[in-house]
Amino acid sequence: MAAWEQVLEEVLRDRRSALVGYAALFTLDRGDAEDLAHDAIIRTFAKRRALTDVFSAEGYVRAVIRTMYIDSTRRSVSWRAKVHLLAETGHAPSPERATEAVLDVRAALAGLAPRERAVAVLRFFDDLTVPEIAHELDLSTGAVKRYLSDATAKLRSVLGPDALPDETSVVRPVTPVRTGRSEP
Amino acid sequence: MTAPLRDLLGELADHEARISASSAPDAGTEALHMRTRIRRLRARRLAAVSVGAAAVVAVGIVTANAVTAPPALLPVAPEPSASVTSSPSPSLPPSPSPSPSTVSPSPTATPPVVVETPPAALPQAADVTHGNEVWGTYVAVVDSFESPTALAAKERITELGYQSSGGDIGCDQGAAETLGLPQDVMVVASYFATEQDAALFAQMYGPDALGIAKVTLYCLD
Repeated sequence: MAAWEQVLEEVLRDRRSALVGYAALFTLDRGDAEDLAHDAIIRTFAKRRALTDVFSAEGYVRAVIRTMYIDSTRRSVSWRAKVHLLAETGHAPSPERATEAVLDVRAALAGLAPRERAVAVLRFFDDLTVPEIAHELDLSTGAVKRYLSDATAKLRSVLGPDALPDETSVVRPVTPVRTGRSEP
Repeated sequence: MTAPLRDLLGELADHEARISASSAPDAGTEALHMRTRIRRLRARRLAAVSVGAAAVVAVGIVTANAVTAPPALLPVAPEPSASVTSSPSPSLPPSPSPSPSTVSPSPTATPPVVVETPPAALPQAADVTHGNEVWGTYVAVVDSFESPTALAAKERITELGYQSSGGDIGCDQGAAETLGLPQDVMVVASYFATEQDAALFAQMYGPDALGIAKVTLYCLD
């Protein structure tokens, strides 16, 4: 068995569910999250790269999940509508087993546009800086700041002010600040 | 630092992961299925690369032959050479638009426009999309989108039933010039379809509004 095949088995055995959980932060729908994680794993391993351990492979898969999600939002507006609808309807997971906090954060994320959600997850879950998010999502830092600002305002309105970090950590200073122009 | 929201997101991810784990297919079976697909994709990529490489080599050979061909092999007689070309919407019922005469017609009005009569209709929010030309009502210059000033401005806009937006002023082409602000400040604004709507909103917002400007929206790509 080739080295990459062993790593693939390890990823599926040990990290698959965590990857689905991560994908669900973006899609808010478990079925879509399963598909996204599955496709991201295949895409990651289909590229010939040195995947020698499960940790680096997982990092690659997570990056591919983000990219595929953002690409899907770029492809069509109808996907945006679909994601929103899915998040609002009966695709929520067994409410009786979900804690109130989980339901709250799901509802809060459902209120965000796909890119706002992606930026918020990368900032608050992956703890990336604004420039790092811009690089990951292929956006200008100005766009990231705008999405982050709007996402934060919406999340605060649903989750309350205590759920959000203090002002200094939301938008880390970028030097120089003026980086936002993104001509079409 | 970001503990509460981060914890919430972590809890949601864990919750989904637990459910996914409980219904996950057998890892061995899934790996077998995936390996098959991955091998096929790798083979396809390899084939594509091979075809591409072969094409490059072929073109290279042809080009090299053309360049290095001995003059004796070239036609003696001249021939013609072949050229190679190679928002949230207002909740009040619709009513007639405000009279244009009640607002300043100047598109470069920096201070908020003073409307003498009460608004007859609520301003219509604009479609905030990348590249769209809209009228912005700018209400605050802020150091951070989480500063008390920014939060108060956003709250005020929300109270009025509109969507606030924070960003570098440079992302709104034309705003800095119109408002006389540096290009590197961050602002809170709301966007409208027409100058009248923007001016009306500035009046609704109150004297703290900085002004209105016709802008092209960027940073929403």
